[in-house]
Amino acid sequence: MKLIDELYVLPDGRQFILYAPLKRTILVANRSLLSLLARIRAGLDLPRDAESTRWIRELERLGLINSVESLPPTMNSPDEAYAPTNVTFLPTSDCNLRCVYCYADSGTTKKYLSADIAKAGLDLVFENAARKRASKVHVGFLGGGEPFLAWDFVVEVVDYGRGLADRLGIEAYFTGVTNGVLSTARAQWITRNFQYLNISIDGTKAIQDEHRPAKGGKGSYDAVVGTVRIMNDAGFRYALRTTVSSRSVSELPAITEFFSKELKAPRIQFEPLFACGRCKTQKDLAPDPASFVEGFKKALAVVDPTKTEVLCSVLRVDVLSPTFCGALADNFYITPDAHVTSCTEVSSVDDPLAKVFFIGKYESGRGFIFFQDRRDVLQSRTVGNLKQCKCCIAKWHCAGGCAVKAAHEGDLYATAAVANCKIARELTENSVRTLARGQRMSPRIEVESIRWAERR
Amino acid sequence: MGGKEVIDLKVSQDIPNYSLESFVTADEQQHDGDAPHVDVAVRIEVESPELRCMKGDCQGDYAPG
Repeated sequence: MKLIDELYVLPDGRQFILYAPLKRTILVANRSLLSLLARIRAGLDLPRDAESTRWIRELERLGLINSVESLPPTMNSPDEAYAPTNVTFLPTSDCNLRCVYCYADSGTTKKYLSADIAKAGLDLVFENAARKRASKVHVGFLGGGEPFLAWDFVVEVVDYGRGLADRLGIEAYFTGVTNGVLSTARAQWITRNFQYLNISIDGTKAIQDEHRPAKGGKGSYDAVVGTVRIMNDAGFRYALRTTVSSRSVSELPAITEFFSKELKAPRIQFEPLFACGRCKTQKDLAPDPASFVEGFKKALAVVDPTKTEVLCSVLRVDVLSPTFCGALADNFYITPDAHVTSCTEVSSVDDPLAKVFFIGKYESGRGFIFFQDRRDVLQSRTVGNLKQCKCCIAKWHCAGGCAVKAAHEGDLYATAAVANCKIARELTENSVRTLARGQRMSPRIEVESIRWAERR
Repeated sequence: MGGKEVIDLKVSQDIPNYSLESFVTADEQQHDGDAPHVDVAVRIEVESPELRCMKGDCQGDYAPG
């Protein structure tokens, strides 16, 4: 008789919560049941009384005993050569805002990606998708700068991508990340031509204008709110993305209330500020992790969980993965100067981390060439290779956290900044406790409770 | 920087131990005379979990920080 390996325990008053992430199952049980499980795991003789026999049978039925425990699939195809079927463009390093914490220090250079190179990227991913019989190709536009400043580029590339999609019978799914300072005409064009948009906004007017001023120093709040209202009017699918600093962390519940009730945002993503790029010397701008966790829990309580999602990238109970994100897998991001990076947070060839995250480049006459040795290093950063994650309850959800943030701390394999690790753990614990009570915590996650008759 | 060996993270942290064995021992008798019991089991159903997993954090559903 064998107990599954991936089982995590949280004390809960006189009871215990047992979390089996790979089985998508949570139990609330007493200490004697834990003892029984420990005996099973140790291979000791089992008690033969009726209750023990009954629960062994029930646990077998629930898949916790004598059950194959499949690990989450990797996002890579390790036996195949790199052949991405999605592409993200970083169209420019230029920006119309001067956010105080910008990871890319954007706006200090004005590089723009050539549309011809972008089209070569589209040719490559659509060709790969056709060969792999993929039904959809994701085409993203995001940072290093404000992507929609390269407006003519975006329009041309979307048009070209849609042409390829029509010809090959593959769906093109266009997404973008923007600072939201867009004209009405451009915002409306996005609602007609994209499928999803992430809009950065950090809170109420005072916070937004302090965190994310325009390059002339004026506030950006009014323009961004205008864009959000255009998205709502069009019934367009979007999320708000909020960087939380030490100055705004205490406002999280109020910000959430404002976003969900006033701005009607369906998804709100909070991320703790990480001191890098423009604010790398201002460590005090990063919020205290305990304050972030406390604020996030309160934010969850503000919304109706059946209607509004409150997210954080390290809190992903709905996701099972051995890697934190596609930077360690098949990401194919093209920078303004035609390098291929696996992460938008490393977009300049001058960044010391380019030696790790730049996994290829475009060369005239040769097309895209890739550096497999660098991809091998990135792909090796799976949660199974991170010893300190071995017994963590968030293991299969946060999967070791953001590799770039870890690399910023000096080692790709170091924890993704201690603060984020603590946040991942405590928010995952909180989610498991919420789900154990049979409560929903997201429109995306349903729970089904099974209750047994009272003790006999 | 690299290799596929098991890696010791450099930054030490006080990570709680969530293992079964940190709460009970295999030779422990029934606690307080209680028979084993499960009050409730919760099954988690996730809508399209592979979508976000495959898209990663920066393919539109999330933006980096």
